[in-house]
Amino acid sequence: MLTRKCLEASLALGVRGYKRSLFPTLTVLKKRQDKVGVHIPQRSAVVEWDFDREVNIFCKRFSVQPGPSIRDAFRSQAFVENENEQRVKIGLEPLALSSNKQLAESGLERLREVLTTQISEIYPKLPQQGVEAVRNFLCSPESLTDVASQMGFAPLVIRPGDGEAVEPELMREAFLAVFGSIENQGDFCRRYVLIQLAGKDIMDIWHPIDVSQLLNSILKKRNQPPYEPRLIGDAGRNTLESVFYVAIYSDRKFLGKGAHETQAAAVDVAVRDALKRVFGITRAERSPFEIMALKSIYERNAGLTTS
Amino acid sequence: MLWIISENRAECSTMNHYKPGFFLKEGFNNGMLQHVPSLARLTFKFCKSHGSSRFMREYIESEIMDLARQCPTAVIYLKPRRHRDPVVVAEYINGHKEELRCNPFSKQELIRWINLMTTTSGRPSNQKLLKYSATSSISIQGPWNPWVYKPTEENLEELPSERLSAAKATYPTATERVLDMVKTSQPR
Repeated sequence: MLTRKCLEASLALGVRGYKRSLFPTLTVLKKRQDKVGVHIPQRSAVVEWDFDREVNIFCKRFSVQPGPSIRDAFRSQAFVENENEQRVKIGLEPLALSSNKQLAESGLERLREVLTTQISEIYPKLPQQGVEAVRNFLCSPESLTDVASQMGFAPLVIRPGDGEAVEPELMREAFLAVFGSIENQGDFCRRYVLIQLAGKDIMDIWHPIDVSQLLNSILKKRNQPPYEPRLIGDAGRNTLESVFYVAIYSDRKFLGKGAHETQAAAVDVAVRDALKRVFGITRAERSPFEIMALKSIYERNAGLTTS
Repeated sequence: MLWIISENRAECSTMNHYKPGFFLKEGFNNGMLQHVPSLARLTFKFCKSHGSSRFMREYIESEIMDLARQCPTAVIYLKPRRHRDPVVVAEYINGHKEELRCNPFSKQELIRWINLMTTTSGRPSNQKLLKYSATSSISIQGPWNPWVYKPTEENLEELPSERLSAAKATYPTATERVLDMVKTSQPR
């Protein structure tokens, strides 16, 4: 590596061969560089960076209608504290910069409200517990950080220190603060947060503890007798590859079915299938996101006529 | 320009089988409710006087306004610096950064390369695509069991039944075919 560098340097200088002192010099320089470490500045610390333009284009890219405090939404609390500390050290008065902490808090509350209404809109039969579980999944730190990183928040967050890597907490706070400071919150939430549910099974997100009791309580509310499992098929009994096929009935009406290796496990699968049918979250029913996407396509093509 | 050095430089290999593989993934199900263009910012670095930046300067004089109109969702920076080769840097919202040295490019070539940069999804070029399609769920139909797609009319059948135990013929037998030919042929 260094030999190659020496050769390149000699070629650039236009001399034949290279000085024997060059290799040891570069070796020492490399060691010193390794000791100090490579200084990578933030993206916003580079000359080609215009924060106002970046924020404007950000709003345009994600079809956001910005509120008055959109610029403050990207400024982290750590940055404000660091900035004021430095000013005090020099002997200047601290600035009255507003950070995104309060905006993020109010944004999270608002996001939870909006999500609750939107989840119950797309899954109208889902009970309160399920809606809360799905909402908590979408509002979880991991999920929000994932969305924020996909939306390219990293270079926009104003923070102290160097490097291109941003702490996930800062990114999440910036995302929530932006959500709190925009005007079309419903659309924004639907497009970038709620869409995370597309292709996911609700029963993977929400784990009800006692499914049989849950199903029975639902049946009780409907004035139906408790469910009864029936074996509707079995194969390979007393072998390693045994399969039991169980269906769930209530008042001689079919609710759901499922297969598993043992009878008890098959009943559990069948009860879960029955619950999915009751809550309207089966794969057979059309995904609410497909319906939403089709609706938006129809709206877009409303003026067009097909031959 | 030390900040350009990427962390996984060791992975940048010319040999394809040393490249890390990846499956297609689109952020936030992009395009399902709304399409978000992937390009975040585009930086043109060039020299105002050097000959190597000649076509870049021509491009900036004639095409840059059209480019800005074409992609209103990307920030475009012009960075003149002395006596360096022209470079285009594209940054995408997924954090990927692509650098392109455009010294030997003519203006027409430059237009094509920049068109590629503005329309691509920002996939890292030091990784190889394993498949042209990918699914996030393990199975769409669910686990198979012997009763999947079993006709429900078989539930009402009384066993043993002649209908179910008869051999299934997928195509007409030779006898049936000859009989059919006799039936359809016209008498002389």
